[in-house]
Amino acid sequence: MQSPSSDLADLADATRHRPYTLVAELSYRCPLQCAYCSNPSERHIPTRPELDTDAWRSTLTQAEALGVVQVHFTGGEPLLRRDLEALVEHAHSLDLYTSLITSALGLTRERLAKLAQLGLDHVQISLQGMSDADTLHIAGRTGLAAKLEAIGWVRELELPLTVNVVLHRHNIDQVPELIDLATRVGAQRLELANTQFVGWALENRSQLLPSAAQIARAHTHAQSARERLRGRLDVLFVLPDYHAGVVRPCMQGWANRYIVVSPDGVVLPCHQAHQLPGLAFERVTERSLADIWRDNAGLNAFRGEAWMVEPCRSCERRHVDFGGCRCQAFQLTGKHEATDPACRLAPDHDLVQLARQNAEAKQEVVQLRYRRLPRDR
Amino acid sequence: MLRAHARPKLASKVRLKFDRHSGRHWLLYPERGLALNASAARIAELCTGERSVEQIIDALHVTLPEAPRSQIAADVEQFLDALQARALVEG
Repeated sequence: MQSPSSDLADLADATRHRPYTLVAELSYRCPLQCAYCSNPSERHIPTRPELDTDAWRSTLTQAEALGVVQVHFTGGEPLLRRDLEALVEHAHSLDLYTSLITSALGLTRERLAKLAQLGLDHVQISLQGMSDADTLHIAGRTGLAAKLEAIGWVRELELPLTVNVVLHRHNIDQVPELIDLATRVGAQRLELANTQFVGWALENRSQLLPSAAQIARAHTHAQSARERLRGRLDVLFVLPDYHAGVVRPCMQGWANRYIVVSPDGVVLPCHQAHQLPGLAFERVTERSLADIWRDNAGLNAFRGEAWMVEPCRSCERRHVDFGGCRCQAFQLTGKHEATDPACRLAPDHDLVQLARQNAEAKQEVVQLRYRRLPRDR
Repeated sequence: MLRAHARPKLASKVRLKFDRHSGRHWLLYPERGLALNASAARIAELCTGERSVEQIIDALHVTLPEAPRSQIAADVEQFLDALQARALVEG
């Protein structure tokens, strides 16, 4: 018998440019206005209508044919789509692993039970911190009680649960309590996701970036909990790129493993790439997903390694980190192809160092800039 | 390591799927996946929570009579350890 462990391969190591995950951003509408939202800034949010049910069904079918095995229904808030049930049902019929990425606000037990019955595989619910004051501060409204109630339903219905908390300087010291909470509510995974400073989060960076000591403490707590809770709760904490001095493998490479489709149907390599000027992306209603995936100019712009400049081009880590985040590089330097400034080898690393130094200084309290949609202007 | 009398079961977040594109079985779970070879897939299929590790080894030994049982046992334990390290198996 062939050794069963001889060629265990995490999927990231397998075939080139086969997409594994469809990130279906069903709507940019959301009851929350988180100051670190990964949706594009309001000036980049198109006024085109959201895709209809049939267009999403077709997108799911085409994505599966391209090799996708997982779909994340996200947003904005995916619960605001009344056809979420129909889309989960369709994804399940394609044998896709389906995750609902939600704030849980507006969810009912009946609706969750229906989604579970239709084949939903996994639910991820965001918390903003241990108190409603945290939720209000970062998201512009309260809602912790509703979220905890929804978490209870997820467990009652025996759906696998991930609790996601975006960490920043105002809640990162709560990591021990957040770990206890996730354990108590029976989550399988706890994502302690350090804020990535692009888009909305970059606009609020001076208020959100933690100090090095805060990150070190949180990291230590998360590491020890990971060992202690192994087999019960999967505690995920990745050192943030600003402090690690190495870049994150953004989306596992540009147009490599993930297909992001925006609410209006634009096929993207990540949540924010439509903010990069000069890149032409296409909509699923214009051409087949397979054609777009293969030869769309925007998707090919930073695919692979040919676009890289030094020091990335000859760096050993280029196969691991894929050159980091193009959106971060552009938003900090104004150049798409610049080395991601989070890298300690980047010519523009001083931009990140300066932000870090400022985070060590005593903070002047400034009003957060909350995420808004164009119609909120 | 799982004890010999444990009854391993794939964690509830894990789905075993035959991937028609690669012709291999994969374990899918939130955000990730693991590609299995044929031997690993056969073990994963037996991790239903109904069989002990010993019974899983026996079941494989029946289909692979030419392989030494000790070798099958070592392979099963090694694979279950790999799954346990990733929190993909309970029991």
